[in-house]
Amino acid sequence: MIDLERSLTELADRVQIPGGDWLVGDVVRRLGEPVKHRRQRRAIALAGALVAFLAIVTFALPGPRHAVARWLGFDSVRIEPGVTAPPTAAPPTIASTSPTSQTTLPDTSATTTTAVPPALGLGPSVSMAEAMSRAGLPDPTPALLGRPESVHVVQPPDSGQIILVYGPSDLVPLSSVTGVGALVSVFPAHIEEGFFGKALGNDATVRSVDVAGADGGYWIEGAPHQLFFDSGGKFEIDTLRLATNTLLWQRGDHIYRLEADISLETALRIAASVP
Amino acid sequence: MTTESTEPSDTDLVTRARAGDDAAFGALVGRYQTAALRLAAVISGSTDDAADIAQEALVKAHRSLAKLTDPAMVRPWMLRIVANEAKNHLRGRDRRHQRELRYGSWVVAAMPDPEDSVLDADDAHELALALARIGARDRQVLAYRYFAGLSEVETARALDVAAGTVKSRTARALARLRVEMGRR
Repeated sequence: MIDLERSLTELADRVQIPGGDWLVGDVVRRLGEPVKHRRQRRAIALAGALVAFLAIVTFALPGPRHAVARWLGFDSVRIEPGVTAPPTAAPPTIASTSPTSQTTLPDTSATTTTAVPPALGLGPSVSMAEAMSRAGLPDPTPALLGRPESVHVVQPPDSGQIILVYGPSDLVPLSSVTGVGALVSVFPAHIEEGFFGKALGNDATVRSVDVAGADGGYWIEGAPHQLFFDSGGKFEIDTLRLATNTLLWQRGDHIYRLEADISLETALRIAASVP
Repeated sequence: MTTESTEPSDTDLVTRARAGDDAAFGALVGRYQTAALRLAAVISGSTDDAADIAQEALVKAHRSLAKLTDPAMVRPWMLRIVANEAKNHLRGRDRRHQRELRYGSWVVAAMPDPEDSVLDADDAHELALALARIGARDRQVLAYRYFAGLSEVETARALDVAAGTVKSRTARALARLRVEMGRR
């Protein structure tokens, strides 16, 4: 007959519980935050349910939109390691999908001293004023990083997102994944909280973090990953390039993203410097 | 509740945490995080949600530190908050088949040395399913005793019952669990 007491103790020792390694840090980081009422949190989650983000570890599956659709639903989301895609995977032909997604106007305000790696597929640089006007988005420039090397407006989403490119510096070293120091972007969307809570890969980690001045944030660290998001009910691959460490944070109706080969602490400092 | 004299006692950490020392509260969390995660998992049935449940509960515990009457019993006090959070997490969606899906999806690591194990993979799966099938009250006392590792006295404190009640309730829960295991 099975020794139930010993079996229970052994089961307790052996059951795998993801995400526990960060518990102390996650709790301590939240100690000073204002109390959020359940109803408030639920409202945020419901709003977020309209738009979901998915971080996928080294994802290279055929028919990715179909795959993402299969993973939707809190109880069925799985982040599955796939065939490792090359870091310089061909970018989507963003300009060809929508002629209005990028502009050919010359950049009059951003410096262009460093060429943007063509594999990023960001197209020509534009001025910040032009980018803000076209996408209807706020200036995402972090004061800590200062003036970007170049500014771009790309799709998705249909309305466009602003991407700032930074060359390597002491703060943001050259990333072997993106080929630049840092990428900062802003686009209109909401982070779906529960969705990211489930997003655990073999070699990449996703954790919720507090970002100063933001409604919530997530830090994706480790293996390169790709981002997908829901744009008007259809899942779009944001880019085909693989991302390095990434900080996502929600502010109002916009999501900001910082991609750089840096620590979480540095990322939080940079994020906090976005006006 | 420390075992080494060089480490601060739970009472010391509670005192410091109440004075605003977040690191002291972090030390308490670190001390009991394994128990908190396991408790959240076994009461909710969801290993995927356990970390979120434990985090939410422990943040609430920090806010409620002033209500802790006996700092030496901070462990059962914190774990009781975790257990309540796990129960609240299930509110409105705890039908039996859903429970069995959650417990049945547990991933159980292999023992480094199989000879030290009393559970093979099938047994572990069946035991998890049996936990899903017994009543919530039975599951809770087993969770405190065998997953969180609380003593009878601590479990009594967490459940707010007499120590003798814990003993009898544990025996009944084990008997019901055995019945469920026998139905496989």
